[in-house]
Amino acid sequence: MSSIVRKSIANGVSFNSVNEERFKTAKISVTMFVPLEKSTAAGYALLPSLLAYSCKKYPDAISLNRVLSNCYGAGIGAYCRKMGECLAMTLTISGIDDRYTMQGEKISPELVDLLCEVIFNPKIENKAFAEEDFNQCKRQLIEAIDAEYNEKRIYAISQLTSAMCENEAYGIKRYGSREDVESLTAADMYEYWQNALKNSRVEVMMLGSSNPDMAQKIITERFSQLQRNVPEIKTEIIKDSTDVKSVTETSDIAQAKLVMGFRTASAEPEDDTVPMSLTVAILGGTPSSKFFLNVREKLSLCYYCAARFDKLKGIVIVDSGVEKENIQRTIEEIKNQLADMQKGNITDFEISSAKLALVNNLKSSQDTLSGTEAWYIGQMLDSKLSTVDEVVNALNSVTKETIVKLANTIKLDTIYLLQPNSSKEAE
Amino acid sequence: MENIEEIQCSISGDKYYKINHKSGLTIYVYPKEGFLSTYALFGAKYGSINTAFAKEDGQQAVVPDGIAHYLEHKLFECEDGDAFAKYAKTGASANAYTSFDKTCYLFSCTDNFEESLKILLDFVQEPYFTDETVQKEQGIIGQEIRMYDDDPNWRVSFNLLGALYKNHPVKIDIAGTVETIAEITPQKLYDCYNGFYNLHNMALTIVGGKAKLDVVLPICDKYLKESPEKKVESTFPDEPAEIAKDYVEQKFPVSIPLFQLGFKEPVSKERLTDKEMAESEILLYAIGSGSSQMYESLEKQGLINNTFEYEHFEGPFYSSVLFGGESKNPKAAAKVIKDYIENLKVRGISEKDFEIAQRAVYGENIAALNNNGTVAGILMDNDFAGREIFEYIKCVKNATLGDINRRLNEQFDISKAALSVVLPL
Repeated sequence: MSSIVRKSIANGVSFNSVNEERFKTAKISVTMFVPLEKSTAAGYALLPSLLAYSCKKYPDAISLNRVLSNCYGAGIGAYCRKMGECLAMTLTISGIDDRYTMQGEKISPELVDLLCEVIFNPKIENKAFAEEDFNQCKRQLIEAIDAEYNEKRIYAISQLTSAMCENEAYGIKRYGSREDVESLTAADMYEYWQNALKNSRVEVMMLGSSNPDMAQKIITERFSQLQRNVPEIKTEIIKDSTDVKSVTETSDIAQAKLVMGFRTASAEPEDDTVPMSLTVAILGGTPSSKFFLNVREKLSLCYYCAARFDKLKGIVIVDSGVEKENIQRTIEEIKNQLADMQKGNITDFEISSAKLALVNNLKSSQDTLSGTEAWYIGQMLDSKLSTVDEVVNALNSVTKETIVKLANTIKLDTIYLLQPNSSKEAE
Repeated sequence: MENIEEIQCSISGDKYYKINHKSGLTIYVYPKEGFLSTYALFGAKYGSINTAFAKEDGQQAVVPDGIAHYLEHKLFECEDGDAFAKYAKTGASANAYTSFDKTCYLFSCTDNFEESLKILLDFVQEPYFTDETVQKEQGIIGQEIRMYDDDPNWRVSFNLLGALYKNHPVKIDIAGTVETIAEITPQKLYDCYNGFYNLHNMALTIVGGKAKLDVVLPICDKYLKESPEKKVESTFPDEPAEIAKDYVEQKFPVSIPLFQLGFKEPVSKERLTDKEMAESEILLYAIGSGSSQMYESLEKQGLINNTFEYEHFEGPFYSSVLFGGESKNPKAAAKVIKDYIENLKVRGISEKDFEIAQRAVYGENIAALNNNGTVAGILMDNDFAGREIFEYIKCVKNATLGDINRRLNEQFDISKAALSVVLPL
């Protein structure tokens, strides 16, 4: 893997570059981290897409899109993700590497310029975003919030998270609430934009074969003109669960969606998040996991039953799609499999296969630019940056004793169920 | 006789090898210098649309809907255990998928490539179906089908295919239904396996750091079992140029409606050529991308959002163009699209729109070469369709405005358009 070169270019702003000759494309991204709060989540969720929609230089969506298309189909990506109890707003541009243009012309300077234009030079009039663009992006965000219900598996996981963490920032939806988005104004968005630029932690990533000096210089100039403060970003960790909370909703669906949320004692900055990720993989992260082999293959209860671990929040989420009459049986079997693991019933094969699978995923992620970017951005809130090899070594040294010890810290907290209406049964 | 052909691309600097292996299998080896992972795809030209064919004994067979997909699930089971359990010893990430026209088994790995390739070649060539194992899968696939039943995007697509096609089996759900899969028996699975999983009807594509002739070929030589030279003939019912109906809707628990608008193209041959496909990709970019006037008009009227997509949906004896996404008013969105295309057929695509679309499509095709899995999929698809990945890029680069406008007239007939919508309850 090409190593990362990391430089501080302004207060709370780092410029990271990874020189990669293997790919046909190049990619630059700017990620702004701010604390996740109920009152500001909606504004920050809207900001990236609003910035990516147009800018002063290309004042409507079609003119900006046509410039990008003309740069051999370059694309601007804009998204807002929850990372622990933090929002990560990313604006990114990717396009083909200068080596592959039709006439050998360089497009990388234009890509850097376009990304800077949308971030630093939006279409602002009287300290507000242009009304038409603002309304367009707001409508689309509201539709995206509504559409979450269209995808029942995603909706069910989102509902579990809100119910389980209702008194924690983590329970706030990625987009805030629909009402919060509706009440935003174009003038509010000017404030969110200024806040994001001035009161955030910023990570710039440049990946590809071109020399990063030019991009670094331009981006440094932009950020050093700002009076910046860096907010403290932390996530509240709750390590235990006493009562199991249960939430049930119904919908006119054929298959029930079951989601179970667990608390654990492992979360950043603790040093056992790597062994915990292995523990969760043995439970339900691979086709040789306990859930896959028992809940799916042996009992034929479902098509998927998967467990994933969020190392920033220290929680485990298990989700499955089952027939209504099998819900209780599935819950019991999931609990049984965890209990079995807590008693130490784990084979060497289960451990070695989970290790191999995780190592394979880690190494493979370096074969794409977005995987490399995600590898580093995913660690920006951690206590330290690790290379893939370091994590591979850490994984391979985990013992069965550690796994059993960690499995015993996994405590069921909340069960969320999206049940079919009675009218849909037995079709 | 085995022959090895080296195919190069001066535009991207990439190359790959095509091997006509003595076993009957066509093998593609696409090296990726410096890549840590390698992706292997072993596929049969056999998918959900191959529901009628001539068996080995010459008898005509009609098999239950969803059997190709069922076979895919069951092939993972071997007499000596599950293929997943074997891959668990190598660390490879393995999977399989069934589409309309092919069934593919894949793995991707960074270590133990040789061992993983042996596993892949071995289990795909060793069917093992018993009453008990076939029965067990009913529950799992039943839940997979129920999952798709609850997926409004899946429903809106298949409802559209049912409106566009009168007879072609492309309108049938890939996984079948809970009822049709109940008819599946070990014997029917063997009939399909023996018909279609002949190496002459299959391809192997390998892309990545370990995609090297001296690594791949010795394993292929050792583990591929020579297949008898015979060709399975699928039969497809005649499909009229006309659509079945122009509108279909379904009520669903959704909070925003979904739509898909399809234009059916009359097809007289099994597959389209590289040139036709490349022209279509440029044409559709010019019509439907975020750089088009049509997109701008739809967006400004609040009729689409960033879920809007378009696709050239093409396979054996079918080709159509699909536009779709979420919309507050699907009928109004469909009208804007149809009016825009009608109008465009009169005035033609402009020189500027063509140039922008051509450059964008060129860039997207170069970028696609980054990804091992994408390249392996394209090589497989091309083998079955009689197309070639680098020839396609050349066709994009050499396309002319005249070609695109010709394709516009071939591909769009407003009287052959159907709209499928999913509405909230």
